[in-house]
Amino acid sequence: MTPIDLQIIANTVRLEVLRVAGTTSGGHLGGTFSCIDILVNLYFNEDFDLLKSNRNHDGKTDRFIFSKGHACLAYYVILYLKGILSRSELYSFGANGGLGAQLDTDVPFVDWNTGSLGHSIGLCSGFALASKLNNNQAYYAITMIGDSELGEGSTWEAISFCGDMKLSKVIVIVDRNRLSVTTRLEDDSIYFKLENKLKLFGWELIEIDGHSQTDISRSFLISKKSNKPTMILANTIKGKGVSFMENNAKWHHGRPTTTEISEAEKELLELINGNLR
Amino acid sequence: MNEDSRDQFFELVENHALSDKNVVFLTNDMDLFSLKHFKTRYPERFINVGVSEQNLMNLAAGLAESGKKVIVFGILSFLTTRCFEQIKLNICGMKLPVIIAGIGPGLAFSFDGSSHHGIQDIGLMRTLPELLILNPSDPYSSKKCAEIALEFKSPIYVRVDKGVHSSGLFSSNEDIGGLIIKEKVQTINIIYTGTVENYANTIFQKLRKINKQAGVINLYQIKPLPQSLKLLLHDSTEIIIVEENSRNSGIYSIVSQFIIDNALNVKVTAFTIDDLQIKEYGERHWLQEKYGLGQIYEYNFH
Repeated sequence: MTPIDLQIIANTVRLEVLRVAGTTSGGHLGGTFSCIDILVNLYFNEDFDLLKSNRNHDGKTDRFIFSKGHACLAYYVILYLKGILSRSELYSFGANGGLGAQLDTDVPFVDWNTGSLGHSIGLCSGFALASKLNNNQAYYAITMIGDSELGEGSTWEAISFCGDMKLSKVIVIVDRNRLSVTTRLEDDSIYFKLENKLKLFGWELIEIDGHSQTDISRSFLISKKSNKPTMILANTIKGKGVSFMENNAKWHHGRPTTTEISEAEKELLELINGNLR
Repeated sequence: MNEDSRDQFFELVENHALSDKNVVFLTNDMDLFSLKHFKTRYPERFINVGVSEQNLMNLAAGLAESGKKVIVFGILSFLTTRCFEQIKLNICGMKLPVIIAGIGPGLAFSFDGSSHHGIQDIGLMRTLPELLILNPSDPYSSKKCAEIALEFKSPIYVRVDKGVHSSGLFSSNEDIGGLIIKEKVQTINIIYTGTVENYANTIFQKLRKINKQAGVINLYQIKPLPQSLKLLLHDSTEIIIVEENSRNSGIYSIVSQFIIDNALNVKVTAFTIDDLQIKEYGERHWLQEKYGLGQIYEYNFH
C-alpha cells in the first residue's frame, strides 16, 4: 500500500474511533489517536504476519503485544475494517458484556491480555528466546508501549536481558507522545540521550516521525534487518488529527460531546478528502 | 529415610528434563546441585536471568506460550512476592503450564531474616484462582509432587524444602491423592503440612496420654483442597492443624474457610507461626518454637 492509502485508512480509523467513543462513557482518545498511524501500518501494510493465526502456542508466528491496551478502540476499529469484528461487536464497546477497555485474548488475534504496563518487553523476550532455541529465527516479537511505560523497572530488566541474549527479533515501538495521564514528559533521565544508553544495552534505536507512513515503513524494514533488538522511538502527538485534542491532557480519557464529535468529524473528513485528492 | 527433599524433587525433574527438548530452566541466580547434569549438557536451556524476578516470570510466560516446558526455581519468598503481578497476569491469567518451584518454605532460611522467610506466600498465592499449590514434606511426597508438576498442563507452584527432616514417625504412608494418611483417620484428626512431622507427632503422643486416639494426615496439596480432605473434614469432630506458616497465611485459613462454608461442626485448634515479620536469627527449630510452634509443648489438650 502507498503512504497515502495508509493515511486515508488511519484517518478513517480516527473517525470511527471517535464515533464509537461518543456512544459510550468515553475512551482514551488522546493516546489512541497518537498511535493509529503506526497500528494501521502494522495491520494494513503487513510487514509482519499478525493476522495469520490466532495464537497457536508453538512459537511459529509473529507476535504483537499492544501494551498500551487502553488505546484498544483503534485495534477494534481495525479489526472491524478488516471484516473480523462485526459492526454490532464494535459498538458493544463499553456495554455490559461487550468489548472491554483493555485487550483480552478472547478478542480475535489478540496475543496477550493488557492492563498493566511494563510487561510486554519481557514477554517478547520469551517469544524471541523460544524461536532462538528452536533454531528458527523467522518470527518477530513486537510490542508497542507508551512513553511513560519506560518508567517501569521491569522494562529495563527486559531491555538488559534482550541485549545480553542478542534477541534481534524483538522490536519495541515507543509511542512518544510526551504526555502521561497528568504530566508533560520531557527528555528526563530516561529519554535524555536514549540512543546512547540503548546502544550500551546492545540495542539499536531508530527515531521517526510516528505520523509519517514513509518513516514507519522504513523503520520496520531497518528493524527486520538489524542483528540487535530494536527500539523504534516514534515521535507522536497525543490527540493527533483533531486540532482541539492535540497535545491536550484533557483528552487522555474523555467522552466527546455531540458538538465536539461534529467538529472533529469535519476536521477528519477534510483530512481524508485532502488525502483522496 | 535421610534424603534431602529438594534433591528428591529436582533429581526427578532433571531425569525428565534430560530427555525433553522443550524443557527450559530459569532462575534468579540460584544454583542447584541436582541439576548439574542438565546444566552441563544443555547450557542454552538453563538460564540465569540474574536478580530480576519480574523479567524472570515474564520470560517464563513468553517461553511457555511458545510451547516450552518452563521450570522456574529460586528462593521462595522472592519468587512470589517480588513478581506477584507477573505470575498473576501473565502465568495464571494466561493459564500457562509453568512450574514455579520455590525453595525454602517456612523458616528454612532461618539465619537470613524475614526477607527470606516463606511464611506469607500461601496467603498470597492462594488468591490466584488458576494455580495448583503443592507442599511436599518428605522425600516421598517431593517425588510425587515432581511427577504431578511435570504432567500438569496449568500453572503450578511447588514449595520445595531443603535439608533432611523427621519422617517415618508414624505407622502409615497411604497416599490417597493430595494427602497422605500417617495414622488411621479418626473423628479427631491432626492435619499438618510441610516438614513439621515432629510437631504433629508431639501432639499425637500428648493426645494418646489422655486416651485420645487421633488420626494424622499430611496434606501436600494445599490448593485446591483435595476431595479426600473435604470428606475427612465432614467426618471429623475436631481437627488440630500444624504448619510452619504465618497464622493468616496457610492451611489454617483455607481449612477454616471450608468448614465455615459447609457449616461443619468441627472444633479447630491451630499451631502456626505468629503473625509477625520475624527479626531474629537462629536455628530453624529455635525460631519455630519461639514464634508459635513451641505452644504445642505448653498446650493443655483435653
